[in-house]
Amino acid sequence: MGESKRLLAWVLVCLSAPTTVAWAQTGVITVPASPEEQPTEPAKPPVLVAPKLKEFAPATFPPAALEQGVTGQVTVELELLVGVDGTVSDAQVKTAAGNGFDEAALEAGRKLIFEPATRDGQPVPARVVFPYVFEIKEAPKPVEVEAPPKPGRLEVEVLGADDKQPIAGAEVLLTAADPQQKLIRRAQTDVAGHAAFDELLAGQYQVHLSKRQWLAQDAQESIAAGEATHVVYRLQLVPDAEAFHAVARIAPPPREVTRRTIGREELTRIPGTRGDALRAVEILPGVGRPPMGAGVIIVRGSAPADTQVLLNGIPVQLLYHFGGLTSFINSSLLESVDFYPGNFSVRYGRRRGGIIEATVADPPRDKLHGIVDLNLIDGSLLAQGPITSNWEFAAAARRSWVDLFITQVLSGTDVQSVAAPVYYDYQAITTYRPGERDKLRLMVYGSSDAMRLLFSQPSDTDAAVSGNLKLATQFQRAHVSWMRKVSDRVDHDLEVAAGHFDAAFGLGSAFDFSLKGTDMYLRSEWRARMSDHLRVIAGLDSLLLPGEVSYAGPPITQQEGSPDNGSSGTAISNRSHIASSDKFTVLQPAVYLETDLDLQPVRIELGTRVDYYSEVDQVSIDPRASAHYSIDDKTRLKGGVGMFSQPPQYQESSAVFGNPHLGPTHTTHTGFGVERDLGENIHLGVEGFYKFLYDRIIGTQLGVPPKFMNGGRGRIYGLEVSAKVNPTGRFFGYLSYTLSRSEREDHHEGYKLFDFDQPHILTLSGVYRLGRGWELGATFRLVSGNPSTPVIGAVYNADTALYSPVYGPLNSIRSTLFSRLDVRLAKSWRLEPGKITVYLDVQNIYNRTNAEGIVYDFDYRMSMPVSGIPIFPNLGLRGEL
Amino acid sequence: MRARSNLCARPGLLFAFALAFATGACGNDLPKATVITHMRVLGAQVSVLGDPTRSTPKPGETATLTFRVVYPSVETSDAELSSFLFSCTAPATYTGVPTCQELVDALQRPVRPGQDKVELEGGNCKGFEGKSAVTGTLGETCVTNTPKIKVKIEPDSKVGAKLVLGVICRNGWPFVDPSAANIFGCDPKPGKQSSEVETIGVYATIRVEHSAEFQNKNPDLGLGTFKISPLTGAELDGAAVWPPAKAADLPATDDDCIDAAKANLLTTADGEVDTIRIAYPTKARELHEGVLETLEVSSYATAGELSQRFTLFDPEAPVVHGQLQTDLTWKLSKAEKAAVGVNGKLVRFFFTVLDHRGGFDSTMRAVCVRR
Repeated sequence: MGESKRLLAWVLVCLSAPTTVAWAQTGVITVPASPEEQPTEPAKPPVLVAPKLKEFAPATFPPAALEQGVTGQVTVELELLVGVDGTVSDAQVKTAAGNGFDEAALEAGRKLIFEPATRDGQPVPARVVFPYVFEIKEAPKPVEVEAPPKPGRLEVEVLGADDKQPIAGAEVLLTAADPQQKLIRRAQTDVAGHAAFDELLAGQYQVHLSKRQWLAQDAQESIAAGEATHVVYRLQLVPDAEAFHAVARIAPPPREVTRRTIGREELTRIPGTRGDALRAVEILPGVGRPPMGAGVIIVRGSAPADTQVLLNGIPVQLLYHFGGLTSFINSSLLESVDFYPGNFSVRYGRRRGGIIEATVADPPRDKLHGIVDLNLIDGSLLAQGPITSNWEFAAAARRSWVDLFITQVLSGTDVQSVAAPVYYDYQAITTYRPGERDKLRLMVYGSSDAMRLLFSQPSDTDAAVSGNLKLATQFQRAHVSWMRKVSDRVDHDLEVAAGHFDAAFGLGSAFDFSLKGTDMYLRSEWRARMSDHLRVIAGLDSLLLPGEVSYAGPPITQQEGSPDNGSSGTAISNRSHIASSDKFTVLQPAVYLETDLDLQPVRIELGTRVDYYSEVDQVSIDPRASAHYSIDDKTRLKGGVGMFSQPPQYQESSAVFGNPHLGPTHTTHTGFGVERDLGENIHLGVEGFYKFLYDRIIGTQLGVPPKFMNGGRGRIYGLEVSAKVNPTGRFFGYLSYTLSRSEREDHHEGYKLFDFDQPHILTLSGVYRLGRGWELGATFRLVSGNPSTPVIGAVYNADTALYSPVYGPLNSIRSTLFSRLDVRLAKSWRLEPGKITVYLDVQNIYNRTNAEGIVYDFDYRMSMPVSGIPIFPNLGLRGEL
Repeated sequence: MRARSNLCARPGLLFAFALAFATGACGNDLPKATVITHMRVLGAQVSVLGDPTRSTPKPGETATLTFRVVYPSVETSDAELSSFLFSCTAPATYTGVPTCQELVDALQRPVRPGQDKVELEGGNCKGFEGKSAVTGTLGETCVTNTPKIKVKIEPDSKVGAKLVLGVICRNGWPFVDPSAANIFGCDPKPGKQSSEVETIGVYATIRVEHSAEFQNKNPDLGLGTFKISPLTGAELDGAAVWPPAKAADLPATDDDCIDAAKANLLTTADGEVDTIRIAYPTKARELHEGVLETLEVSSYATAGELSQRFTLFDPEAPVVHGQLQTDLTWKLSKAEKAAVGVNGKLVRFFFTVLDHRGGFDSTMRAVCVRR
């Protein structure tokens, strides 16, 4: 038998087993008799009825027989013991057929169901011989047609598999299975997705469907004479090799009113961030525009110091290199960045503004991966992969190149580069899974910035700006995480981190600051699902920080609302000089408890956090509540209210520099919003918020002792509108608009604008994959200018030959509107086993001159805006394995 | 910890500042401090009564503080000035315009926020034209001509320094109004327009020396040597000393210096840069607590651009032939050169020196730029 013949036989057997596998009963019945049933006297013979087949079980055709080309009928005689319930309790081969038929028949025989045998109408077990017949038909032969058969018709309808929409223009190729027909016909589907073939002889036909960007499909159809066969085909789109492939994460239930997450696909692609994940936060609603070179984040009108950045639950000491150039961690190591603009969970404390938490991704477990990134600013190297089946690693390092060209930049100036600016950072991560329930992670990471410039001549604006300008900051840290699934209902996470930090900067003899110490963190969180509706979370969040500081420079003053801290501030020479040092130990333990009540469609989170601040010997208790209500599966309402406390800054509460009798500052957050999903990938949100700040720390009038006091207030309110397109196709994007007002009041003198009050913040950001490895992205920002305090006069200091400004009303003028377009263009080539990408990231592509403040001449008679960053291109090369 | 994260934000600012400064990004079109385009105060000298070389009076002594005022035109003089000055105790610490320690002390009494206010009393000099007068507990002084104030240090005084505050007016009556946003001001004198009034608020300190063995003397720029080349037609090493310009030797107007014998210098070709050398004998520096004092020399001109305003001679400053020495460049713009008339253009140079311990001195030089 030829191959096609065997196949046809096999198909026929499998598809129509009941008709091809016959059975018969030979009438040989053995009914075992029990002793008590032995007749003691001649009696009427019992009436025996043989078992009758009730349910047939088809056998599997033995492949060996198929391969050997067995045809015709094959019979295996089975001896079956049929129980009183009609099932087969024992089966044996009585007459074998070989070639695998015996085993197949036995297997099928055990599945047969009978009507049990009866004796005098009562069911009794019975043994029966059952011939199991395999019949293998020959392939059908062409039928000799005596008269022309009536033609058949094939009607084809082609739809998209996902959207069920007709596909027009699909090519349908019809080929007769019988090669003797030599029939090949083509047709194209119309706008309704229809095509038809007439005048077909009855028989088998191969159908081949194809269309560009759709997966081709093959099928076999039978056409009956005189009948029309209508077949619907559903085609799948060809997977887009260029599309983003975001990994769906099942997020835990929300513990906050608002959490905005930037996922892995987006983190390194936001234009204008130089691929930096943490800077990508700047495109989100509620995030203000930081001043150039400040390296800070402004969240919902709060002071930069009111927002905390954490890495896997542990605060980060130094977020950015050199004033915001790039953050301290390789973005490719991150899984996501979560941003909480307010009303955050009691898991987070010691901050009253916002929280940004970066989460490290587990290293890949499939193979070794590597990334090399070289650009005009810095270069980085990353390697990660499995060590064993349950142990992975990742390691990355980065170093800047600024030192290689700064000497050229400085040539011809009065500045010498004594130690050129250099930054570096490193991260090493290893993850180990000792069992199903445990995961251990060790991270070691650190960062360093250092530079030293020598000003050979004093600045014309201040003779104190001369000599050495030095800057050196660094931190190193080890961070252990243990995530344990204690039971099906209880999880426990433990984070322990310890490290050393050191910061020093100075400017000639005018300013010198150094700070060093050891920071230790412990975070332990238990999450227990008490019932289907109730989850309880309890945690411990502690910080211990011994350190020492020395300071020489101008008197330390209030941070907010102090014009002297701005670009038009009083010259260093025109401030008195203080010098002191201090050793300190800060202990800040905290405990928190949170309940998560799930009463679908309502979800309510209630929590309380208790913090202790050793430096001021004060306790704060912060209750918080939030709720979510699902109107339907696409629309949710949300709201929250809570208290948020923050300890004074070190210099404010230091017995040496400030007032150790201060209390923590407080803010109440209130927020309400609605979220709506448009389809699978578009999310819209509108949220209003109000924050009231009290016990703000302000300076005393004229800086008289105790220098600082809890006397300030503040209010911040606004509305955020956001839209996000997830990176699932070739595009992802963000639109965010924030309308807000942020004000402060000191000494009961009436509310005045906050230093970074930005009423309008509009951000549009999108990335599109053009195809053939090209990717284009752009970010556009339109932001209100920052307020500033006008200088209305000046007084000449004969001791220094410099003027001191006399200020007008605080923050009563505003810089011009800020706008900037950043563009990122990348081209990738897939060079197996890796990929090479060349990218160009251009900030401020239309070279807009944005005002970053006001600069005055030497006697404050004339002024002009301080220009922000001009067009700034950065070209890079990235290799990925 | 919040304190650290906040402080750590500062390196970024410092870095941005340094880079901007270093790369010239701070360059702007605002007027340069080295060019005298309007009435300017260049410093104040304190002289102890009876020993004018000393700048630090002791308790029981009286010192005179005199402000050095200069003008862009040689035709303007101190005769048009009226000033209102007063003195009080200098505060221990301050930022910007200092406040009298007496006010700081008053604020340290229990203060009810928003209710209690401690303010400086103001005053003005109307009616004191042509004469000096001293009134009030802070020694408020109205003075015409060169602004100066005498400050007596009480014999039992413990203060570290006295603070002198006030305002200098040209063509106006000075006033001090602490309740006004701009504290100091000048009202036009009769017959003068507001646009003719020039105002400079000023402050300075008089350091009080409580130690019997220490004293600080004013530096003396008369000991220094000044040269300018190639206007003088010679290399600096061989050039003649550039003599001080006495007011009496200067021409009556800036645009007619051709016959001023002692300031008769030639201009050079377009685009050339002239060099000014300042030298000061290192031995003239005083020792303070075993360390040589730092001298800060400032340079100004009524026209042209000087390469730098400040020159610091710190204890480690190099010494050349027993001299502290620095070279500046000075260059007239094309427009300035084109404006030079047939009778030349007088350009005056002012040099001041501070020892940052209360000592001050100033001197003037001049050139006549010819076509």
